[in-house]
Amino acid sequence: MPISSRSVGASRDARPLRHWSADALARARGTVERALAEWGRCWGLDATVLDALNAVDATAVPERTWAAVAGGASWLAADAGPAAASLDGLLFDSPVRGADSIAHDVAQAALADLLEQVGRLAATSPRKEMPSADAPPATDRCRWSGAIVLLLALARDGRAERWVLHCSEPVSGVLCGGAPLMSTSAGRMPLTGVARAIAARPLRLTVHLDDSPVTLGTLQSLHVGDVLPLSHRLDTPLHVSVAGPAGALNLLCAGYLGRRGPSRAVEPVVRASVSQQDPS
Amino acid sequence: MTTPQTPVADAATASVHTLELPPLAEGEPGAARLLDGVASNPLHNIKTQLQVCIGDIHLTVGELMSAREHQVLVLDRLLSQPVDVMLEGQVVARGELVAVDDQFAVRVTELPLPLKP
Repeated sequence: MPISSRSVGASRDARPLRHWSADALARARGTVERALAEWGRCWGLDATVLDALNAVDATAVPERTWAAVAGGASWLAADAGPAAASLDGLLFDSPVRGADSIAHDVAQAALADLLEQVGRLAATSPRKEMPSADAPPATDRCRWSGAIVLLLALARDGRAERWVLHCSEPVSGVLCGGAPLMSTSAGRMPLTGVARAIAARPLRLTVHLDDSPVTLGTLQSLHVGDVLPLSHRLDTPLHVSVAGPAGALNLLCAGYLGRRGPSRAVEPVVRASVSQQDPS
Repeated sequence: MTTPQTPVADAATASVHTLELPPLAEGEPGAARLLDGVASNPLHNIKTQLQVCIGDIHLTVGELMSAREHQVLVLDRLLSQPVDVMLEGQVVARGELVAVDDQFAVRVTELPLPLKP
């Protein structure tokens, strides 16, 4: 499909292509692991990162109850159910409890602290505040989305729960801490202007007279030696055109006919100056 | 003034019947040409636009971009070579570029054989 000027423009739907290298994912893993370990020490839990993956490479996960991280673009979820209930079970060995219990409040506070810690990680670099959403967008599962998934393990006294931290762009970019693949121009060819890029392309300009109306009868009765009068006046410059699509001629400029050595030649003039000189 | 009206037949009294069109089979083409019997060929009155091409200029996009007004551009035709008389993008005749009064004209030097159908 040819690119038309109508399809070119600033589109809010356009997104950068991002896919993180193993090194970048390791950086994200280390960053999250340090914060997670610190949070775990405060709440009496062993917290580690099991793996860090590009979201497209993560195996399909069942529906989860996601908790949005402060600042947006990141979400936490426990494999076994709501995050607060999972923490409640780890901290107090009793996951089934009323919403008004102290243990429930403590679990909520631990979750809020974790969300804040993770949110602070992504806020280490200036970034635009993202709109909050209930869950990661489905497009994050597409190739080149730039989203990453970190598989977490929270444990206490031999009991362990698996959690997932899902980070979209630009949080994933901050955590991975480096230029994503395909984003660098180092070592590439320098940029060239369009005019320079096509400067060597050959062109054929056609020099022609005004179109002259004629009947087919006149044409069919022509003989060698006949003189065919044309409508183009001698004092009017000729047309210089460039062939467009389907052979159509696009007028480029005007030109006065003359000679250069043994050849015909034209002295081009811009069309505006021709129309000023020639009131017709 | 009233406009003359086409008389309308009374469907009840007039003899009206449907038309049965006979099937037409593709026959052997006859020897006579379709327009042979016509005194004046109707195609002769069809008007068209003739274009006279003086020659071409071969250059690159870069040369064109840097070209200036009044800079002489040499065509690919010698002075002694004919110009092309074009119809619908095809050369139907060639000739010498001449002047008639204050207008350009072409003295025909080459015609396809046969030009006439």
